[in-house]
Amino acid sequence: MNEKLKASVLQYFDRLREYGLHGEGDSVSVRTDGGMLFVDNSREVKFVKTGEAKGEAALHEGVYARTDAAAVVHAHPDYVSAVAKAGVTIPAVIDDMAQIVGPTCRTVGGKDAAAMELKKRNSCLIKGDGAVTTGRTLNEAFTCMMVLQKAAICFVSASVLGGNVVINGLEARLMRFVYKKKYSKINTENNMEREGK
Amino acid sequence: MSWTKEEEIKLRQVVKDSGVKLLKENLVQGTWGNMAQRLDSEYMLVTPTGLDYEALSPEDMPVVSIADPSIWKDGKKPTSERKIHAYLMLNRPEINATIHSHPYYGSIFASARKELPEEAMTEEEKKLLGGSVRVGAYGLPGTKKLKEGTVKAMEGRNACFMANHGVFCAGRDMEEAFEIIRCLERVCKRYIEQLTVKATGAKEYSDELLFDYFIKKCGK
Repeated sequence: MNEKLKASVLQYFDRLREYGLHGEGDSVSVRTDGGMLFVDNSREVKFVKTGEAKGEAALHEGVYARTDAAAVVHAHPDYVSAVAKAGVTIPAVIDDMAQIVGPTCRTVGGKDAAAMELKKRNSCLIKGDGAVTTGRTLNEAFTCMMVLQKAAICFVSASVLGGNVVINGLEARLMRFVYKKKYSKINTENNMEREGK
Repeated sequence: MSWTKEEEIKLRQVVKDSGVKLLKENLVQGTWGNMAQRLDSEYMLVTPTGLDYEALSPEDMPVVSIADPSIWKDGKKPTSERKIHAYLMLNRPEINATIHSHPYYGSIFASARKELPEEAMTEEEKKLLGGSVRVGAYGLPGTKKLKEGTVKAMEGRNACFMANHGVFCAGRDMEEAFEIIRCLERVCKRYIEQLTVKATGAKEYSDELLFDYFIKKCGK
């Protein structure tokens, strides 16, 4: 087993708590040859062979089967969970959401629907079950969760300020394109090396 | 160039440490945000573009011309927002350190494009922030529109919101700039809590109170 990568999976799982993004039922994984390294609240990093995932790990396996993601985070930060409970879509209320998360983040009905949703996006909310984010690295999937929580804070809290002014859809898509193609490239390469990929 | 090598080394470390402090105090997410430290009336140090603060070394900070921020030397490619930092340093000689970031509570006001009124502040906070915190006009990151909107909103102030983007703070040194961004975040949080209590008629604030209000108002 790649010990550096194993340590990185646990590091990012612990970081969820460190950054106040944790909740019940959180899990983090990274894709490996023939399966994934997976960790949940037990804090024991396990190798799960493709086709043998059960329970929470099955959600991660479903995402890897349908996408080219290299890392998956399923977490339950409080504001994200409030939006997931409301069952609504977070629009691009802040530009780093447009860049890192995407122009919108929708709520879907369950874990299978989440894997489908993530075919074309790198985040979604699951009704009553937090959010799932993906990335080319653990850092990218984690950062996506962090920015998603910020967007949820803006979205939820602005309800007492009279609501948000949403970024124009075309501009949100343009920012996303520039981020993916240009801005995030250096960090992705640096983080792949740091995480042991 | 009117500064010594020793001063430059010290200030490079100030910028590096401040970046890490932004992350540790949860005042920025990921690589987002940037800062500048004046070296003299003509040059400033800024953070490079697209690199996370923990991985940066003090030598990575480029030296940028304040009069023409397209000119830079040493270090790595500077942040694309350097024009805003430069413009403020050029026109406000009392400012020696600037921070642009995306903290949680400041971002709520930026995303709602709502001014933070003076009545939300204590006298001490008002003095530190320089009055109500205005919202600069919306513009894409790195654009002239964003620069001009921020500069206008900063007139006579030490902090402003940048529409759908983040916050900008300026101080006489990096320590004061930090004090300002911390103060702004604290006042924004308190004001949201006060508005939640007012909207719900509850006696005291809790996050659950806000969540229930949101779900009732916006939920499916």
